[in-house]
Amino acid sequence: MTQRTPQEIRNEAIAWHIRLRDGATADWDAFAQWLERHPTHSDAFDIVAAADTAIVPEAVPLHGQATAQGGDWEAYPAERRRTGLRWASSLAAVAALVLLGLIAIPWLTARPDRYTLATAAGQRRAVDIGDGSSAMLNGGTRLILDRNNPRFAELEVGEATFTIRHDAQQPFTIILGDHRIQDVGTRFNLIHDPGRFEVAVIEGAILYEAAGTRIPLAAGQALTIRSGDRPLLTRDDPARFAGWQTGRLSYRAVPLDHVASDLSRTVGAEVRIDPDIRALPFTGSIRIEADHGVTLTNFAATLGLQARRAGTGWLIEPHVRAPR
Amino acid sequence: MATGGLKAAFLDNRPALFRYLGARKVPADEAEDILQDLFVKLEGLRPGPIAEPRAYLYRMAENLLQDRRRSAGWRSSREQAWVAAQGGATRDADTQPSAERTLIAREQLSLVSEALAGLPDRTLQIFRRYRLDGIRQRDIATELGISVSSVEKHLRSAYQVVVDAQASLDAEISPRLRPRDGET
Repeated sequence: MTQRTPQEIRNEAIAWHIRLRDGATADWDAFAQWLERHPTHSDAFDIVAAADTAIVPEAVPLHGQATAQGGDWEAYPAERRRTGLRWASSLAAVAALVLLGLIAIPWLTARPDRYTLATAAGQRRAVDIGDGSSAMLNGGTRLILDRNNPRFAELEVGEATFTIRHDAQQPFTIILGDHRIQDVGTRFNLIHDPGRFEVAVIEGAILYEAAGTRIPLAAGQALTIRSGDRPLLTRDDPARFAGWQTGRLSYRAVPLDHVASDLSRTVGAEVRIDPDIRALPFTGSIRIEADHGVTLTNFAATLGLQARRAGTGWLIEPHVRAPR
Repeated sequence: MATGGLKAAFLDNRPALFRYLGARKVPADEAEDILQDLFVKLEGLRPGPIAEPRAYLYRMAENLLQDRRRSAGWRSSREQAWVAAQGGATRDADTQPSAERTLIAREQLSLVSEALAGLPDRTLQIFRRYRLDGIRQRDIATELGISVSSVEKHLRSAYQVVVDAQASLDAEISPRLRPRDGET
């Protein structure tokens, strides 16, 4: 047998791993022979199988390098390439456009047919949009509706769960700064904060649009766009979405300051995070108790942090400890 | 094929499966256990028609073997090393995430994610369809109007990136992730 480098053996193991997922009997028999050819083959295969378990939806970025490397494999359809480039360049501008959107809103609301519904932090409000569709607003939220167009809404800031009656002739459109959601008959949760956009589809399907990019999303899918980060397309149990309505907020690797915005809205007290730990990712769930002090204290304790009253709100910060 | 047919196929292929597990470096007694588990599992199965029972049984054996390796600490060696680095304190195994575990998971996630982000869009698109949406290679090829071997090349390059990213994580156990304030 010719000498192969560990790299080459690894690549063979990868090829087997891919081939076997939908492998026929002949593939498995050939694989068994490959294993028997050298004792390191089984180890290489284990490493590949273990690495595969780290592939979760949020680990796979929505987009990579827009310009195809290795173009020798196959010609890249021109139309798809353009879409990719448009998407990439539009994302660079998203953060700025979110701000522009917020500035533009007073001008939009000056139109007589538009009116704003707002909730204070900690408040909830059910809204009948008027054509069989409805929304439930979380605290700290501003929603703009149009008297002359029952198929339009704008989520200026905050969080809301929409239940939309489908009408193929007249799709329902929701604007969130630079982002646009078009329903295909559905229930979904939206978050719009400065530098953060999230849509999670609970039932049915929607179409997400931003600057020429259109992404269809089905139940169980969520799209998150944070300024300075790549967009993330994730999948989860739809029952975990809109957790503010069921009293349990669920997260996967979400920066603590975003968690704090959700908590502020939901419990009705301003929650701030110590700047040193603001960007730390949080994974897990938070139970919303009747007493928000209990909610925040428990949450902080889970992370080995402490929550204390600061001014009118709460601050979550590391423990100050005597040196041991 | 009904369960009875699958059981008959199991009995026919038992020696081949045993040999397979041997090639996967499973000791003989453990291989017997796995095959026993597999047979018990066949009892509870209500599979639809299975075109290739032998391939199906191989896959079941491989999955059972991987489950065992994982639970036997194959994968958790990384976590153990982490705990040891923290001074040997073991945490209660509750379901609440500890800050450290969250950080490790995040580190792993971001390493893989960053590595994948360096790939061409096209490769990621194919990788998503295959690995996250569970679409077969030949169906992806049809969807995109390219050859199956081209799909496979994209998948290989994506997996190479993932395996390399994991290897680099195993090599360092991230000293920079040490929490500032452990709750020991």
